[in-house]
Amino acid sequence: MDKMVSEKGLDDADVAANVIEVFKECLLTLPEEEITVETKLEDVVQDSFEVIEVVFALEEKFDVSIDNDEIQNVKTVADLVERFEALVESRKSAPSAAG
Amino acid sequence: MSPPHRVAITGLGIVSAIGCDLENFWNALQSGSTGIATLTSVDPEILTFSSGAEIPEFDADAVLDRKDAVQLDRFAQFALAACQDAVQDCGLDPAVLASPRCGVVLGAGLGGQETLDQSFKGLYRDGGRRANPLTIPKIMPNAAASRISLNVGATGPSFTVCTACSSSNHAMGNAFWMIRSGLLDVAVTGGSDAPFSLGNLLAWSGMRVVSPDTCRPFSADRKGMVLGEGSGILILERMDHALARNARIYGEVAGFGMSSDAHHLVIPSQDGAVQAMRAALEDGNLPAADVGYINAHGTGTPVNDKVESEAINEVFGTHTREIAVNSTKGAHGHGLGTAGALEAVATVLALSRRSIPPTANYREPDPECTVDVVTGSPRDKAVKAALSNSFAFGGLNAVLAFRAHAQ
Repeated sequence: MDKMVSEKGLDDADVAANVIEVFKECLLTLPEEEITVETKLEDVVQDSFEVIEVVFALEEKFDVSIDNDEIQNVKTVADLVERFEALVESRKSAPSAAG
Repeated sequence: MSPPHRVAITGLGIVSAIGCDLENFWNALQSGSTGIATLTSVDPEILTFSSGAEIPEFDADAVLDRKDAVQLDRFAQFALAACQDAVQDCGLDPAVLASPRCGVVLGAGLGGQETLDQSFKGLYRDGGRRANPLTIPKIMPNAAASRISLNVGATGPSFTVCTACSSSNHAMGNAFWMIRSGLLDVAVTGGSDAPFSLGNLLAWSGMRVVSPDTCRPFSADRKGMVLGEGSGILILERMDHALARNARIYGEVAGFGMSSDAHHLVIPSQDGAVQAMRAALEDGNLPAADVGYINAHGTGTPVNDKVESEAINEVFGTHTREIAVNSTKGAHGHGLGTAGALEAVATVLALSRRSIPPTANYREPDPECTVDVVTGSPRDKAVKAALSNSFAFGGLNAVLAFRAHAQ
């Protein structure tokens, strides 16, 4: 399942590329400068709802859940990538309910 | 205590199935046309009805900022769109709105039904385990009032009234009283609703009050109500404030009356309607003989229109024959929480333009509705004052009295 390729041609396993793509889709206004892992959320987000929207969209995409406390510590796109890479990794290593 | 202030109506905005601007709305009313058509937003197969007064052409992305379009449910999008037009229409300095002397009081019968329906589909049908983080802020019935207060910067008393079909009249009445008492200089008021989600429509099917075809208020062959969506927004302003800036004044809110039937959840009571109309006249020190037009609640159900006709006769006696009565629900549908707001805009336009629109879809007189129903074509008539009735499920009644403004 993790090797599914999305409509945008992204490999689901490439968490960083997916985070950037989902992040761009959730922004109310796309900035002129390119969104990279270095991008600081405070520089491109107008409304805190955009951050929880992107977190929700990524949770849906990767079928993982991020703790509320951890969202407070997300300051950059790289922080998002790091958290979701870890969650995806732990989900893969966890025994699935279906066996 | 200072004497009560008079309250002017200086701005109007409308989003409805018969027009999303004042001129289209008015022209449709005057021509007797209807916005009721076959439902497009849902498949009506499981419903007992197949029509509604929808606004399929409403495009939130085209009329609202992206942030507002994304973060609001359809019912609040309607209110914000109507508000933007009303604010522009009133010509007030934005600083007057961005003030503790400005409040926002709206009616909403349902809140974010579309969002709620989507959320339940995700949970119960699709087995979802997460909800979109915007679900609660989109569903909350006060979302429209909150967003308008935020966007215009109004920091005075703002709230949402939820009394089913009387929501908007209760809201506008309270806004009127706050200006009259001196608490506010300006209020953004009215209401909005967007009932066309399948779960909600199925519930209306269960009520057995929705017409299988169309809405024919006061007509002998009427079969029930038809749901509508949209928003009406009125800018109310202290009269001396409006006069001092030489504002265009559509009319005046003269009085407001409320009552509770304490009778039955859904069967209307003549006594409750009578009490609310009398209260509105008394509140405005308005002689019954000044009333020349009533925009009736006129839902098109067999029982409402009969009981409302009898109530009008009881309040006005022999003067009833001097009163032109219409129901604009045949045109814009029953807007539920926005019904009173759509009808207030229609009433105020009729007062200021001295012409009373016909009752759309009316076909034949009902001997049990002994009021002078305007049918067929508009009736040119200058009246001193008009009532707009709202009688809600739950037996909560709210009547507004409007007075024509001498030009």
